[in-house]
Amino acid sequence: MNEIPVRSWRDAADDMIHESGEEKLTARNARRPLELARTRLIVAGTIFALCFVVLGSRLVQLSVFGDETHVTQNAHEERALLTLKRADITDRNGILLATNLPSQSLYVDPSRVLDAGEAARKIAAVLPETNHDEIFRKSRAKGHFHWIQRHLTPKQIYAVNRLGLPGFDFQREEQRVYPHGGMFVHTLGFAGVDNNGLAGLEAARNDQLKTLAKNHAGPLVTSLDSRVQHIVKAELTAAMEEFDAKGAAGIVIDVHTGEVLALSSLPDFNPHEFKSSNSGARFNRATLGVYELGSTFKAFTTAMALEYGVVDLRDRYDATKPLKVARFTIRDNHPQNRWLDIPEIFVHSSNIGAAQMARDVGAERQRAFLERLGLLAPLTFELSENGRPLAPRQWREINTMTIGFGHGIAVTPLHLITGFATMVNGGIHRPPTLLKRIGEVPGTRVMAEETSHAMRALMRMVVRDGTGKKAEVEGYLVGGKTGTAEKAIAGGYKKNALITTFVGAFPMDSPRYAVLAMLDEPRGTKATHDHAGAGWNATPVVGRIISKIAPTLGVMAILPSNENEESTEHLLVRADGRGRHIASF
Amino acid sequence: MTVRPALILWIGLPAIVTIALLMVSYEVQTLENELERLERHTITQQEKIHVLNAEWSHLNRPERLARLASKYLDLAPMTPRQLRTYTYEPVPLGYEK
Repeated sequence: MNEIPVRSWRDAADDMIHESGEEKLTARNARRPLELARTRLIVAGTIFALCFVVLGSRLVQLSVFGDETHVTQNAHEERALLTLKRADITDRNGILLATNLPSQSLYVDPSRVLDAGEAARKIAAVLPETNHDEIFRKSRAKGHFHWIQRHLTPKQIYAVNRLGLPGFDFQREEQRVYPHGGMFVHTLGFAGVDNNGLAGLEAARNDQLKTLAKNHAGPLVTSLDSRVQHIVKAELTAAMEEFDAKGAAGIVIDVHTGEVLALSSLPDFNPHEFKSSNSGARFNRATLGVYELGSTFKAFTTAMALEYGVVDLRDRYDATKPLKVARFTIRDNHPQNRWLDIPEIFVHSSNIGAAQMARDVGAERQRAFLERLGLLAPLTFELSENGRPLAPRQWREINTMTIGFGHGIAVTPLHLITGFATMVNGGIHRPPTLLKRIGEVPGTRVMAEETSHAMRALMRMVVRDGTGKKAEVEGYLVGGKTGTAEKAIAGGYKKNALITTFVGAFPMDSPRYAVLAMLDEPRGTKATHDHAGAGWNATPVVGRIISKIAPTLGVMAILPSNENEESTEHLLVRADGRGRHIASF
Repeated sequence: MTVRPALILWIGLPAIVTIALLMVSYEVQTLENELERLERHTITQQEKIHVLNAEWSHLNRPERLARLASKYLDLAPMTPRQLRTYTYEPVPLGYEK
């Protein structure tokens, strides 16, 4: 381009002036337009230069950093993570109990369907759960989206695809899956097709599960232990069959933290088929059902009498004959017909003795004590199924006495075991929980440590010498209390329909876990000599559960060969400070 | 006609910069596509692991393991007698005290 002589803008301007034929202009006058043009050119040049700078920098910005819609670094990391709608639920050891799995659901877009009749006929033929008329109706309905069937199996997806029907398409969804089937159905509950919790922990912690999933904050860790749950369920199932019972419930709880390791209510159901389950199976006997649990309440009566200083272990009550109160007569099931001291009343499960003890404590103090143990209000448990205890509105003397031996008050089995955990752990009440606890768990003191020690010794005696003998497990100092109660029905009690319970803890020298088993309407068998009492059915269940879960949970057995047993028993007897007395028992 | 070095500089420099920028830009685009592909791959793999975890948990159901163990293995549940701590073990000779 340099071949053409480049003329400076000054020459061009001169030409312009000369060509315009303004020769008359003086040199001074001629410079004015010249200057004007120069200024204009400078301004124009600057503007163009600025424009190019802006364009250039934008170009650099775009190519190096991308545009505004470019995702941030953080979003990149998020993008590489699988995001599900609900967080997993695991047991305390990280075993997966509930998870969301991707699945495909079939829907129809009616505007694209060619022949609704043919489509309905073909689809109904490959998907047995669908209904021909319904598909036909949906294929001709308004709108662009109608579900045909949710969560198809791979085989069904293949079959539908093979039909090649236009308008029928799949939508990726998520399905809640419980790898253990019905094992945890009464604690975890279940979630419906739209990923909303409908029962149990799934319902009670619905929002938390969704938030955890959104923030990739890991699974919801429960306090449950799948090994313990399996043992409890297997033993309860076997006992239900053996004693022809209508139902059963079992709970294992850590007495120092309130963590529930296992909770089973039978019969149960498969959470994947909750629609076809009956209401009986869906009823949670362990946390929702309230029952009069009978003699197990004598433990509370004894504890409160000792705690308030109403009696000490050497005191005796007259159990020579049935007790008449107003129009009621209180009898013993195993009459001893003599004066009984406190350990004897407890071990022989004397109604007469317990009733008198409760009367001496008094209605107000009994009520306050049961309230502190959490037995008069629904528990703050992480389930949507929490039963409300039934207690008399007017707490008269007769109520005080019957409650003393466990009648006239109905609580859930979870209430009962929580109360027992409090009695053996040193007297500190901690509400039960379904979530794993870390570190020290705060609680409220309900009774003195000495009272708790005395209760341990008394419960140990029930298993060593009394109605709880069948719960004995070699190496573990099991203690507890049996309870056999007739089922309460409107206006009275149902004869021969029993609720049998055993609730205990182990090892009694330093309790770690409490175990409860309850059977609903068990029957006597040949092996039990037709007895249907708790000592014959619920008690051996707890014994078998403990013998299996104790080694699993790493609780050391103290075996006779180690010479330690005697000293531990000795410690236990000494715990109440009156060793001589109990030792002589 | 002489070529002014300044002119070459001012025409050549932008040209080089433009080409370099373009190449970098294309490379970034390629890498971003690769990243996206890897991210999709990661998610697919995560999903597979997720499904396998669920299956693992399903296959390790205690009742299934108990059934299989009793059928194929000569093992039984642990009894209290089989659980010991170090303090219960006999101390080898020469190590006492």
